[in-house]
Amino acid sequence: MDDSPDTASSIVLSAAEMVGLTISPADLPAVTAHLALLRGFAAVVGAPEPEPGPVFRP
Amino acid sequence: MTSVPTGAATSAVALASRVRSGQLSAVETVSAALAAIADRDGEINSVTDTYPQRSIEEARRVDAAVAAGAELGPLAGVPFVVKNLFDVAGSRTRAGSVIELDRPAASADATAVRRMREAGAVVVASTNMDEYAHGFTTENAHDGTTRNPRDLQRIAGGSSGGSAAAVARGIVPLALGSDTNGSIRVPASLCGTFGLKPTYGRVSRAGSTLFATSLDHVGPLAATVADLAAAYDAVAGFDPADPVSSKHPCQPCTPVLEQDADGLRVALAGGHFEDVADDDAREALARAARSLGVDRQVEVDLSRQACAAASVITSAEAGQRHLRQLQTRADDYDPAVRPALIAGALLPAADYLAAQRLRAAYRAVTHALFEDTDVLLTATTPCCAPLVGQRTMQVQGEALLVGMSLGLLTQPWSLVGLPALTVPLTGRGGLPIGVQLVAAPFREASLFRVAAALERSGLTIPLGALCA
Repeated sequence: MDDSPDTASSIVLSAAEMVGLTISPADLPAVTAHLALLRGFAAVVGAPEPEPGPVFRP
Repeated sequence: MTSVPTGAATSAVALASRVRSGQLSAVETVSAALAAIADRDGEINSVTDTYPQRSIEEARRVDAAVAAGAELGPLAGVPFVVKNLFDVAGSRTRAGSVIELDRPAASADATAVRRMREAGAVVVASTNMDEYAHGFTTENAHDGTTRNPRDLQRIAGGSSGGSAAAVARGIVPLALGSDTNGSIRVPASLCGTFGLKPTYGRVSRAGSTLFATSLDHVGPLAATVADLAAAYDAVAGFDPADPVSSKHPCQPCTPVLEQDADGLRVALAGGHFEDVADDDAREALARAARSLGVDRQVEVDLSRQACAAASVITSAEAGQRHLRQLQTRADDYDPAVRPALIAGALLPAADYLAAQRLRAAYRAVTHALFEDTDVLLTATTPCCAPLVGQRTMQVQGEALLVGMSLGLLTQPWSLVGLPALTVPLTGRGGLPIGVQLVAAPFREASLFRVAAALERSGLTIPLGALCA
């Protein structure tokens, strides 16, 4: 898989377009870096078992 | 009338007692707080808006009630400040943003502000914060940076940095903040105040600007345990205006302060909670543990994953909350916040749902832990306050991003809504650092008993440390 910065940025721009967002060229590196950080957190979370589902009780 | 002690030089509880007895007028206490803002806030920049007319009018009503012999609340005449995301009737709620200035003024006080007022307290100002509560540093592009009163070269922490700094500087004895991943506890730790994030749903968020709704909490900051308890007792309780508000019975915490911590099963949290604490944090924690006679340590499985899940959930919820506004007014956001909110709005749903499943698993882990433990001890922050503008910090040989990592010890408990109270100690270099107490849901009283024991031991930063 191509994980070059250009590819990552183009994926970010496509995703942004899907939700109606415009990202300025000045913001693009920061948005791309931040999304990579969040995807890294998601990797740490992993894939927990699906039960009991997306509910929350304190 | 006698001379007026301002802010944290005298505790809120003591001020209220003097107001109730007629030794001091509420107008004097409120005027003194307004003067303290004018005289002392310039160098720390904790306050963004003041309410002189409203606060003096409220103070006059308190004084009239005293003169009429009416029964007054436990915080009669006590001046306090609120993070500028709380509605204060007649003023625009800013949430650290210029976008909010286009909205109409609030028509009513936020529930927490109203409850403080019903207890006799008087709101005098709103305080600086990270834009929309996104951050741990209170470096705000619109309102400037709030500096740490203990060392002006350092950050106050965030996002309730203005509230913590105002209390630490002795401008007022009490403040309200909000805490999504640690935004009450982190600045309280770095500035050297007490701070409480109550159980999720325990204190109403109605009338406050939410950030990540399944994680948002509201709570008090104070210079003493008794003041923190008085403020918590004032604001806690069911509120139908907040859809997550709990009907679980409220236990007042002021009455438990005289009890010692004997009989409570206290333990240190190991693993993740040791790994991301530097030597200052570890040493302060060890001092607190020795004082309490605690030598048992427990592992809290999944805590590193819990931090990651909290970050994913926060980002996704905040990104969705701001999506429409990002589509139309992106340029009006703080440049440091905008990219993070956009990234959150782009997160795949699969990541968010996996984080929620991890949350459920972590809830099971922590609930099991509290079957044989009443209070857990950890450091509150990985280290003392970083410098203003500092981007990374060294913790146990690892370079961590300041903006993402100051909440590594607070995030896990927020994720599962547990009550957590930070107690101010001093690190080896003289800067403050907090020790965090954590309990099972709705067991705030246990936290207050341990906090009071630590305060009585003389370990904590004393009242009025910075009031000169």
